[in-house]
Amino acid sequence: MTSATYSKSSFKQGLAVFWWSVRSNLPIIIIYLSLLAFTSMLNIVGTMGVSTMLGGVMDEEVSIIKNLPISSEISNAALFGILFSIIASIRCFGYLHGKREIDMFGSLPVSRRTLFFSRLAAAAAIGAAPMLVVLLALNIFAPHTGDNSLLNTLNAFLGITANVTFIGLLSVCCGKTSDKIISYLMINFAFPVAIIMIQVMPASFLSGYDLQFHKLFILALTPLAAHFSNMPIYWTVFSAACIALCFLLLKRRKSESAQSHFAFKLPHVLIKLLASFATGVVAAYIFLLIGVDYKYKPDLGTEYLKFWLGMIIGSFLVYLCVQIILAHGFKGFGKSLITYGAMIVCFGVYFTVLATGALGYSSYVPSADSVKSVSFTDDFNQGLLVRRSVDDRKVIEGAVDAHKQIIETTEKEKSMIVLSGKTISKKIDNLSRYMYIDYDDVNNFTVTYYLKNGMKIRRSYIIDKPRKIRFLYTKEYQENYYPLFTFDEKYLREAWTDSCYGDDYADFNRKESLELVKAIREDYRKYGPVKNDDYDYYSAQFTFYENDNKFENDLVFYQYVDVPAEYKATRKLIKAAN
Amino acid sequence: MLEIKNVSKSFGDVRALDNLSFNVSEGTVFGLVGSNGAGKSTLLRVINGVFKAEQGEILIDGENTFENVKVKNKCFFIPDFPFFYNSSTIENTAYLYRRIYENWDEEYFKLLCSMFPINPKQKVINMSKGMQRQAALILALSTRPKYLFLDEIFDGLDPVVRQLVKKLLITCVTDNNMTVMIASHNLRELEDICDHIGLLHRGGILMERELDDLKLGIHKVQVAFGEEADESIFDGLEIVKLSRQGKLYNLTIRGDADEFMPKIEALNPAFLESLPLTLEEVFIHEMEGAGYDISNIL
Repeated sequence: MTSATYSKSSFKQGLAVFWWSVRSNLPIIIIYLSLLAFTSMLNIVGTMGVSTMLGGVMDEEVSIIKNLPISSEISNAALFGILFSIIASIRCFGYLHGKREIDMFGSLPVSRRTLFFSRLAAAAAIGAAPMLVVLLALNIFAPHTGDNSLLNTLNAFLGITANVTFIGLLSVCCGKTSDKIISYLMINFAFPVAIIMIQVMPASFLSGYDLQFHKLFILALTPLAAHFSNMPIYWTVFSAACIALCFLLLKRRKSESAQSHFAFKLPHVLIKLLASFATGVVAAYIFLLIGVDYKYKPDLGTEYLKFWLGMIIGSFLVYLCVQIILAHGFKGFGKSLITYGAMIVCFGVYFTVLATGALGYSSYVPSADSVKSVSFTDDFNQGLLVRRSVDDRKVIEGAVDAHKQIIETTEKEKSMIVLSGKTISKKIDNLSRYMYIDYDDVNNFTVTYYLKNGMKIRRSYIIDKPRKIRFLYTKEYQENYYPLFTFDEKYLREAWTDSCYGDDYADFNRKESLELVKAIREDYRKYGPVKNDDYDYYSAQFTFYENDNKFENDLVFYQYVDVPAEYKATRKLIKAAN
Repeated sequence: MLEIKNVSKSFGDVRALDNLSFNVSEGTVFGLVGSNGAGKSTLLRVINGVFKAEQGEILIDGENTFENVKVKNKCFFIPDFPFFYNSSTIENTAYLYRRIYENWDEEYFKLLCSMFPINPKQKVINMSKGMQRQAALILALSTRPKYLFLDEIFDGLDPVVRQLVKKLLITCVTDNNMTVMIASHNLRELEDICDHIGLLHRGGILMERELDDLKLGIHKVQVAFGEEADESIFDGLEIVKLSRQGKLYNLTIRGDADEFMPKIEALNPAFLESLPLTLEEVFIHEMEGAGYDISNIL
């Protein structure tokens, strides 16, 4: 007979659904484990082969195994983990999207939340467990060799969790599996593009705009890249937020939305706007480049016209396509154009603000009196070790004057093409960390003011004739911002020197390196920067720790200094070392 | 007892259930009939908590059914297309049910597996439509439900299995006081097994009563007179349908035969015969009465 009471707890029910869901996905788990084990074996065998070829040390098998690049193995495992967690999530949450499935699952004596979160846990377990098993085996077999394997494994696990919870949230919002997959892919790809374009656009309008890409904003809705972003705290918060949203929305979700339409409109609207915006701005820049060649004469009106034409054509076409894909036709298209219109208006406002100088962004220079300290970086001193701010009044006044001079030289640059081109070249230059004692080529400047009211103002420029900026050649500037005079000696690791022909190499230990720096400083003060146009010069190269964690394999900062014949004290040291 | 009180449910502009109210007593077999789109499947889904009613409430043993795990534990719903995963067998689906349904009866499960001509280790998805229904029924009955809801359960079953299913259902009803609600268009099968019938039309209940009362409440009468008579001679009788072939009249009359037969006899007919109506005929007459344009269909 049927009992009058029900004694099974939500936990027990959840556990039953969890195990059943895992069992139902057994074929996928087997494929996943096989692929993971196979690629891991390839990695081990490959590493052994390379080690053998390089070292010829077959008798040192243990050290060969130790050489296994565990971080690349974690990345390999994480890639499979994310891929299979996506597959498992799509399957586990499929019950929300099939009319027949919803009949079965909806009538089970399990609450909607227990059912959903058990399936979510199953999807996460299917994605994470095989990965963790293989990594654990590898950690036993090939112990940790200095890579931060624990953090990497945590990142891999959080990447899986972020993907599963995000797909879970999309599953709650979408009515069909196809809509869920489209939404997942579109948000993952369109969102970063949209954010990058929003961040890039000011660089096409504002001289001095310091383009910075913020990883957190760009990847905020891109769980596909969670593992590689190294933002464990963010992805933990992201997953928690997705779970909280699922918890709230589940009760409001109508089962009948299965196989028909979006249960909640937000992803639908978000996808259409993100995709059309991102494509629109990309198309706008492509249109901007039409007719540009080496004879190009900037005409702002034409540039604006081309930009807007690209924006409207690109964004509208994508909006229309996404509408047809998601709504399977034009139903509701007319009404949804209001949203599209709102997006275009918002973009228009953003465009207008930028095109009109963003409230004096480009021309504003703070008065020297309002500045507490200033940092002034150029091609030479952009390294982390010399990003210092100076509160000397003479330096502040010099920096303000130099900044005004730079604005004067750049104020005619009103072309979107020219400004965009300079920003791109600035970004590429910033990748280089070489330092040459030669001021002829310097043209990258970034000035940062720390105002007395607590605000920070930062501008970045590329100029063609740096010689005009007299401040750069003053004693105040060079002694305050020149790296050789400013770096903290505790970070110096080692140095070496060589002739221009590469036949006079010498190593310097830390103590000798400090002597070498001292000698370069002495020579520099005496002779200043000397242009190397003869063939008789040496070079000194230094490496520094970038932070206080002086690990053997940590990334180091690298400096290269030319030592011309005039630098007699330095030459003497180099010759002594040889 | 199952109580349906003023339940409404819409899908967009379509009102599938419209202020529906009726009760189903314990230990009965309730047949839910109605035209296509009348709301039978929707009602079963709302009762079982698959859909949420927008208005009204559904009580099972005095408790609301939606998101009520305790009540759902007493119920089992087999939809018109039972769902099974591609890799599902009866055995591995039972793995879930035996952990979720408190009254899962392992012995009975084994017994049912032996009674139906079906392999519990075979993938259900590879089975025929009728066998999939048998699989669903084995699992459903093994949970020992107090309330069993079946949508088009006889569809695809061969005559032998149909008899077996009816026998099993009747045994469960008599032995365990199980309540069964069957939505079906197969009125012939319902006639065999149901003791109550509810007729749904456009989301509302057209009528709900015991099958015997239903059949006794409407009659088909053939009457012939020696001379041609005007139709007005039947005034005073509750005629649902009247057709005439010469001197022979075919009447469908609502009411108690003991009351209207003497009245017809008083007209001195040359021939008079009262015939029982099949459930299908009752259904057609009732639907016709409700404005369902049968002439366009038949």
